[in-house]
Amino acid sequence: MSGKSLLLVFRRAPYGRSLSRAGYDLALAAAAFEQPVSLLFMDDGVWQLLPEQHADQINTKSVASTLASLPLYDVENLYVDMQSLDARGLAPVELRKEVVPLDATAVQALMHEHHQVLVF
Amino acid sequence: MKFSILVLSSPGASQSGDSALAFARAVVEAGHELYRVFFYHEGVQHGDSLAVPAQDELDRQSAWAALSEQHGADLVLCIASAVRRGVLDGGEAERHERSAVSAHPAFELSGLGQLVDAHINSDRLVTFGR
Repeated sequence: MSGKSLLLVFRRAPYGRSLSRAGYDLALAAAAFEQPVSLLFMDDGVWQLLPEQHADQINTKSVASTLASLPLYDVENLYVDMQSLDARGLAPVELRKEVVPLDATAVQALMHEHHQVLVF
Repeated sequence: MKFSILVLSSPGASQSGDSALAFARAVVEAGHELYRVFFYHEGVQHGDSLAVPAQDELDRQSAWAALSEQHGADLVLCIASAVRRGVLDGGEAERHERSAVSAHPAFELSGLGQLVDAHINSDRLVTFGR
């Protein structure tokens, strides 16, 4: 895909604040305008990737269903920072299977290879 | 160089909005072009003309409006974020059957496509207020 590549970095836990929702909406908008977009989850943002989420119990929309819908809009590049997982006692096997784990060097490379990085 | 600015926080809640304003002024004073300022998420409250700042505080809205008028920078409020927070222009007030128009006329309500466009057409897109 041609265009100007955009990396959206999610660093916050999924609920409690709605900023990550803003990040997902932007991912869909970028895809709609045919700009290549990738998502990187790090720090508390890695909690967004747990497949079992019962957001209805706190009267909000589940991030899991948003993530599941991304491929329909051609948003397919999802990455997670391994260090953030380690720090929280999480393993890649516990996450959504489409997410690619990256070590610190690969995270650095990912940021370098995108034209624009925005953090949510 | 062509700059755009993304503002994510509301005017009173943090220093970020003021930093964005100072940065925007620095951009134009240095002779660069300010292509667009996109207010997203809580940032859309910058465009709420019904909010009354305290008398001893900076009137941030007028400052943005003046900057836009003098330098032709586009001030855009994300329409979905704005409507959700009660920042409505005439069209949205009518569409959602609300009794007041609250968006300041210097700010335009538009979609996230305007942020994507700023990303495509600016050399730098700088975020304030994460």
